[in-house]
Formats: sequence, C-alpha cells, structure tokens
Amino acid sequence: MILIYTFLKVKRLDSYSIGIESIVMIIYILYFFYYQLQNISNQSVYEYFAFWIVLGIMVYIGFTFFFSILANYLSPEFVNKYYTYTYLGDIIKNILFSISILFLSRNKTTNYNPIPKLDMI
Amino acid sequence: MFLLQATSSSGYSFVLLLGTLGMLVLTVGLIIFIILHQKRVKRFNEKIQDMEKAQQRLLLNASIKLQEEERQRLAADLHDDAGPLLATARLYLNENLVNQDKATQLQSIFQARQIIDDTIQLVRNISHSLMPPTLKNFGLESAINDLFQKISGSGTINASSRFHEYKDRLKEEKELIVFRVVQELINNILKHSNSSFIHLTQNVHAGKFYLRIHHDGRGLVQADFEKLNKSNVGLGLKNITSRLRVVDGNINFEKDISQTYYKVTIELPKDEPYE
Repeated sequence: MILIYTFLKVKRLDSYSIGIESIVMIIYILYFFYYQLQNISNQSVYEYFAFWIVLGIMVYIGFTFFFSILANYLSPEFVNKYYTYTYLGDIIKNILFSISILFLSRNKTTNYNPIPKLDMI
Repeated sequence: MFLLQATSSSGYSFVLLLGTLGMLVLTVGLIIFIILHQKRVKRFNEKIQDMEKAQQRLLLNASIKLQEEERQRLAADLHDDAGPLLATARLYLNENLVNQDKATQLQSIFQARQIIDDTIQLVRNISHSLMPPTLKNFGLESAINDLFQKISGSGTINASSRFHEYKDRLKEEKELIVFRVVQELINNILKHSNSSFIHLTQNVHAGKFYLRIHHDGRGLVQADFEKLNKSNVGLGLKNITSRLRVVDGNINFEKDISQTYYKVTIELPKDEPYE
C-alpha cells in the first residue's frame, strides 16, 4: 500500500490497491466456500450467518470490482452515471448483512442454554 | 490493465458491464452449486444412515430369532427328555410301593434312583450347553482346547488349537462372546466345509487379540460373508457380527496365499488383564 501510494499517482480512484484488496477478498471467499463444501453438516449452509456476510461481500465486489479497476480509464460522464449503480450492490450487501444478523440472533435463541442459578437454591 | 489501456473508452464500458455481469453470474452460480452440492451430500448421508438402520434391524432380528430358537431347543430338551424321565421315576415311586414286598420295593427304588441320576446328568448337559463350566472356571484357552479335543475325539476330523500368548485373560463376558463366535464358526465348518482338519491359533500383536482358524474345506471369503450378512439367510453369521460388534471386534474371512486353506481371523482390542 505504501509503495502504491508512494510511486503511483492516483488520478480518480486508487484502482491498484482496491483491485488487490478485492482479489484477496475473493480468494478468502472462495476458501470459505471450499471450507463449507468440505465440512457439510446437517444444518443448511444458508443457516450460517457467516454465509450471508460472505455473500454480501461477494455481491458488493461483483458490482464494484471492475468499476474500481477501470475508473481511471472511463469518461467522467460514464463514471458519474455508473457510480449510482454501485449503490445497488451496496443496498443488496446491506440486506444480506441484515439477513445474517437475523440468522445469528435465531441461532443464539435456539442454542440458548441458561446457566442454573445455583446460588439461589 | 495494459490490455485495457489499449482499448477505447467505449471498450472500457463494455468490459465493465461484461465483467460486472460475469462477477454476478459467478456469485449466483457458486451459491447454486454449493446449495445443490450440500443437498446431494445430505441425501447421500441419509441413504447411508437408512442402510445402517436396516442392517442393525436385520442383526437385531437375527439375534431375537436365535434367542427364540435357543429357548425352543431348551424347552424341547426339558419337555422331551427330562419330563418323561421324571414321569417314569414317579411311576416307580407310587403309593402301591408300600404294599409290595421288600425285594420289589428295593428294585423300584433302585430303578427310580437310576432314572433320577440320568435326569441329573441330562440337566447338567443342558446347563453345560448354555454355559460351559470349563470356560467359567478355567477360561477361554481351556474351553477352546476342550472343545477341539471333543471334536478331534469323534475321529471324523483332525482338530487342534494352540494359544501362544494368553497369560492375561480377557474379561469374562468377552471370553464368552469369543467362545460363542468360535463355536458358531466351528459349527459352520463342520456342517458345510467338508474339511479334513481345523486348526486354531491365538496371538497378541500391537495391543490386539487375534484368533485365527484354518481349515482345508469349502469356505467363505470376506465378500461372501458380507453378502450373506446383508441377505435374509445366514442367521449364524449375523449373530457373529452382532456379537463382535458388542466387543468392538472384527472378523475377516480370506483364502490362504497358497489358495489351499481358508482362514478366519477374529480381531479384538486387548483389555486390561483379567482380575
């Protein structure tokens, strides 16, 4: 990052660092899915809250990855026009994050095992 | 990036749209693949569980059937042998005995005593068939040696057994299970194999107890055993499987390297020395 910011002149968007970051994220996401495939339990994959978070990040990267790396080569009119479309990815990501919170709270409710208040006996 | 620099601005927007679309398709495809794969794996696991349940049910049925057969045999032995003997003894000891002369009385008492002795022997035999006293008092080695001597003594087949390392006895219940399995195997060999000899060897290796039976008749290999185990026939074999499952044991049926003999190997974890 330091090297990128030192030696490269950022015109509109720091495409290189965003590109590298996105690729690293995609690798992590693919590893997550690979791990899910290796460790299949009786619980469905979409019942894990992490699945929805990863899905949200993947959708967000899907909407913004190419835009981020090509931003410096596109005309300002096109950038202004397309930029609003990246909000769509952002909204979907937020919805998916909300779903993950729902699943997280549901799992917590079902697995909730109260500690007996022994000192009150 | 250099490739992209070489294209025009409208080309970039085309690459952008195509790339974004590709990424989204990739995401959706990945999710669909994962969900379908998970469903397939789940179905496969369920199928395996069903098969295991069916196998367990089969083993349980076999065990119940065997128990019933054993009860029927016991009932028949008592009814057909002990019943008439005791009834005959009762006839000798009826009320008229007091009105008869002394010689007749003595003869009747002697006959009744003889019959009661026979009955005692019969009951003892039945009891021994249920739980061999040699096994209970002297352990697996003596019980198996005794069994093999009896078989060899019949003169029809040459039977021998050799225990190499049996200083530490297995637990009593484990010994009984192993003995029953050996009995069943020997019974099968005598019934079906038409072999001229049976040889049993015992050994301990890498913390495991091994019993191996060799014979030169017709035999089974592992595939045959598993096939019979899954079918509705082969009650004795199912019983062997269920007994060995109780003690975490394994059984392996194979042909000798020379392809002349059949080998049956029983393997079970060696536990603490018998106290």
